[in-house]
Amino acid sequence: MDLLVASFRIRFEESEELELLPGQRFSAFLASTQGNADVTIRVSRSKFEMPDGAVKVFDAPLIEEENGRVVISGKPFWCVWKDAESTIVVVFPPDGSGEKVLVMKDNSPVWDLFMNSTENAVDPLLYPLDGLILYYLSSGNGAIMVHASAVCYKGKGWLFSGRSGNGKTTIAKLFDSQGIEVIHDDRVILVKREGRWFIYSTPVYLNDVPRNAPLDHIWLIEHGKSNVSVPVEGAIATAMVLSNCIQQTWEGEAAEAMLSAIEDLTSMTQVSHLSFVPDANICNYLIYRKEEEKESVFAVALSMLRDGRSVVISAGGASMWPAIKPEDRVVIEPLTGAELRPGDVVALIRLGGFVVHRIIEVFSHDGHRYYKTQGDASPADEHPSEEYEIAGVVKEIIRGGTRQAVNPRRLPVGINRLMALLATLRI
Amino acid sequence: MIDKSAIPSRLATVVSKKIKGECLLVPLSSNIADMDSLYKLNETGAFIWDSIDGQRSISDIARLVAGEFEVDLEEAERDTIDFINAIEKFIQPNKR
Repeated sequence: MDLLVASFRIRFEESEELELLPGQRFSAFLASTQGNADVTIRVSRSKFEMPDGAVKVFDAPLIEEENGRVVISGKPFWCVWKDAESTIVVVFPPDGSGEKVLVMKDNSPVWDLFMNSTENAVDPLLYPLDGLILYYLSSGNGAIMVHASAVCYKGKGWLFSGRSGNGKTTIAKLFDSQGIEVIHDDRVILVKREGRWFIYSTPVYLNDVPRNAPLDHIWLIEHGKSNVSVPVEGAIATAMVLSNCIQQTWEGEAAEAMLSAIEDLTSMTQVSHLSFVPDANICNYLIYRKEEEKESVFAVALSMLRDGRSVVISAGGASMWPAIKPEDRVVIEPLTGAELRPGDVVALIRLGGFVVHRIIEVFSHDGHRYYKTQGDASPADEHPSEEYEIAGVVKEIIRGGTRQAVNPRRLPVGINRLMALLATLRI
Repeated sequence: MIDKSAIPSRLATVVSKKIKGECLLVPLSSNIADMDSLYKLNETGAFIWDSIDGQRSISDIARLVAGEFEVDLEEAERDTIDFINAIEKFIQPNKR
């Protein structure tokens, strides 16, 4: 019996006239036995005796939900042992069928699975064995397993990752209701093939089917009061993605390999932090901002600023009225390392463009410096920004063909909002 | 509290990775419930982390910092001690 998941061929070989009966959720991933397998798992019904020299290196107790709260029950779920030549995974399936043991000899493409059963038919993919087999296969081959939902929009794979409860399933449902293909809504594997990263679905639920798309954009999501996408890169992007990956960092070498894979992934993929409101507008927000033309113009402007050159953009909005009016052009100057202070007007990096707002407060928290910002004519921004979210400083605008300093002060917000609204209506 | 004669070394229970001048610290863990903490060091932090080799004292490292970032030695020593205290769980503060 072969299983094809995320472009990997997993072959199961049963012994002792054993019958393999994988759960229904694998139906669409089963394939006839042919060609070379990426891993062969020999399944026997015998019980595994832990070798004397083996030591327990990793423990995953059962995590249960009680009244909507996540509780670590302390009951055994699965754990990892290591001896001189093998990694040994022991699982305690919640169905009470007794412990199963997966033995993976270092650098060997043949693993052994001990089902500890007297039955004639066994399920070699009993939860949580399935996820662990996929995890070890992925991480051993430079692939990355992630808690994420993913959709395919016009041939481009968009990944939405976040902690449990942050909206992965919600966002997948919203895209689904717009007729956009959902690759998966819970767990995917990212695989690099011929220099490109791809998103693959994995079998989790009953009707899951194999789907994939080339990876285009990763969003780290959370619920918010408005739809705001902030591009991130470098170490922050790697850290944000890593914290949502399925990982077992008990061993330095494996942790380093995973870090390198994620660094490669984030160096060639756009990564953004996205706070969103769970309604259909989030789909339009992302689709609109992902239009290629807008995105490339923004990317050029951003790289010019990072090279130390100023850029001029159209204001287009009234949130900074009257210091900046919608018909003004705004001169963004690169950051020079000079301290940013309350009152300074800055260009914040947001998906597909800049948002020009004024710093109203600077504060430190946990060793990070944060800038609370606000449009002169709008309520304070929901999230304070860090320096990596600031593209540059705005000191001048061009109004009616004349350069002039941007007004250092703002009117009381109540007055501004009303006047900004009037100004917008006049256009 | 660590003093400037200490010779810190990095613990083997942390993996570090340089990314575009910054540095990520990933603590190794033996329990799935503890895998929540990642540390990101900025350019100065990454420089100090790189300088911790189990041979150099805090004073030695501060001299390197002062040379690299054009600050006076006293300030560099203060900053280096602050930084090492902040990442103390990844450091063995060996005494000379």
